[in-house]
Amino acid sequence: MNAHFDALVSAYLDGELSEAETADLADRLRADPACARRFAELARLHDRLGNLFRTAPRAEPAPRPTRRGRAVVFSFGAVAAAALVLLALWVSPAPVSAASELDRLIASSADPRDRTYRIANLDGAPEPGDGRQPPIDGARLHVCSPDKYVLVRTFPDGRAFVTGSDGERSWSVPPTGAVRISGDPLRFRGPLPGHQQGLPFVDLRSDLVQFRDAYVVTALPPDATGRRGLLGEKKSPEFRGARRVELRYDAATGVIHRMEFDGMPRARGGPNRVAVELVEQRDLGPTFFTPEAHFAPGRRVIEEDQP
Amino acid sequence: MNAAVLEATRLWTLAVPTVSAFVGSVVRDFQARDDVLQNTAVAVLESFPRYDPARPFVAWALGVARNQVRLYLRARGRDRHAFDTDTLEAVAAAFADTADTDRRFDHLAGCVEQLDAKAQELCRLRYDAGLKPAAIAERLGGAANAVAKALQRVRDRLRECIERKAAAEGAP
Repeated sequence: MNAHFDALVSAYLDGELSEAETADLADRLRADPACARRFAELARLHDRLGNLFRTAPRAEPAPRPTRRGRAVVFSFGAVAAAALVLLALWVSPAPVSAASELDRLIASSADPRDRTYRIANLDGAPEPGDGRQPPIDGARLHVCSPDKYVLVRTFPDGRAFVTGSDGERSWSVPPTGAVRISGDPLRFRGPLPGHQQGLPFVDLRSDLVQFRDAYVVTALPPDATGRRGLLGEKKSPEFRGARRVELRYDAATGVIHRMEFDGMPRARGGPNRVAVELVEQRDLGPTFFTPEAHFAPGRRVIEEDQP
Repeated sequence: MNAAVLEATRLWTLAVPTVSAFVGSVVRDFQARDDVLQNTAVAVLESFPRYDPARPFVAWALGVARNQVRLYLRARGRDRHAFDTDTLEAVAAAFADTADTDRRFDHLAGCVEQLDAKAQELCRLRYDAGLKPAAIAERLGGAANAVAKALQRVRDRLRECIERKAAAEGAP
């Protein structure tokens, strides 16, 4: 066994290998039992470290890991009666730390797949409108990190009003009239829930980082579907965001399935309480976030930045 | 208490470190690993009447875990960074072959305590906060590659420490 193999396994355990490197490692594990045994040894250490640190007290600035909690499961002298208790300890979910869970969600938010959300107005009353802007209730929001999005809102008669950005330009495609395209990526972002409040969740990663900084976050018990939750209470009224934000996510993958914003500032209208629910994650294609994908050829186009 | 349940529990308790490490070597997210391990524990208890006591329990439990890992990977959809079935079998066999080395890792806590504060913080961020090297680098400043190498060095030191202590007491 050589240092290169150890480095390969170390990078694998840290989730740092490319697809080709993972395939190379798999080839070696299948071909050489000695490699597989070395892999097992390195993976054991990795796993034990995970158990040790996740059961260590968190209040100390420099953790001094102890062998309490789950670690005692590894005691070899356990008698049968104690073993049952230990099994119960083992299969019970670990206490969830909101801070570490949020860090995990931030890490998971790097998933490159495009996401589609359904937006619901939870106010229980119809949104006041002037007839020129469709309601946000029932809208679809397609997002591609970090800054691309397409928001499709629908009038009661079924006509769609599409706004979006490809990260460099933003654009507005009303049901009739001219299409507007701007060199300012934020120009048509107004209808996005949370945009006026600074947390539009279009760039999920940076918004989660902001969420971590601006909110006191606590872990919630799993909901009826088994999804874990985080509740954020705004630390200071100086931050423009919603008063409370609740996230529901898949414990296994870290994918956020539902975001609920309550107590949104309403200086410029809009609902007080909104839910954003994940519909699907898939690649929407290279042109989906361009304006041209959302209007028929021949429509009048106003390039707002043209002199 | 049912004698079979007691026996299953006793054997499972001894097998857990190896099964956990196997699951964790494929399902690298610690929370997800716990979920798969819970499902494995339930499946082991449910299937225990079919366990042949003539076979090593750890190898049998690893087979149950392998099925649970497959179910997890299938539910997650295509993942180009996950091992295929043949590799899973090779890895499970290696864990079964080396199950008797588990005891030496009981020295881990003592070895971690001997690490300097910087190395302990690195471990805390990686294993308690669950951050990958890129996220740790973002938090501490520096390059992800340097953090990855530093983590490997810390693990090398811990392994050497464990082997030294195990050799001193004559463990396998």
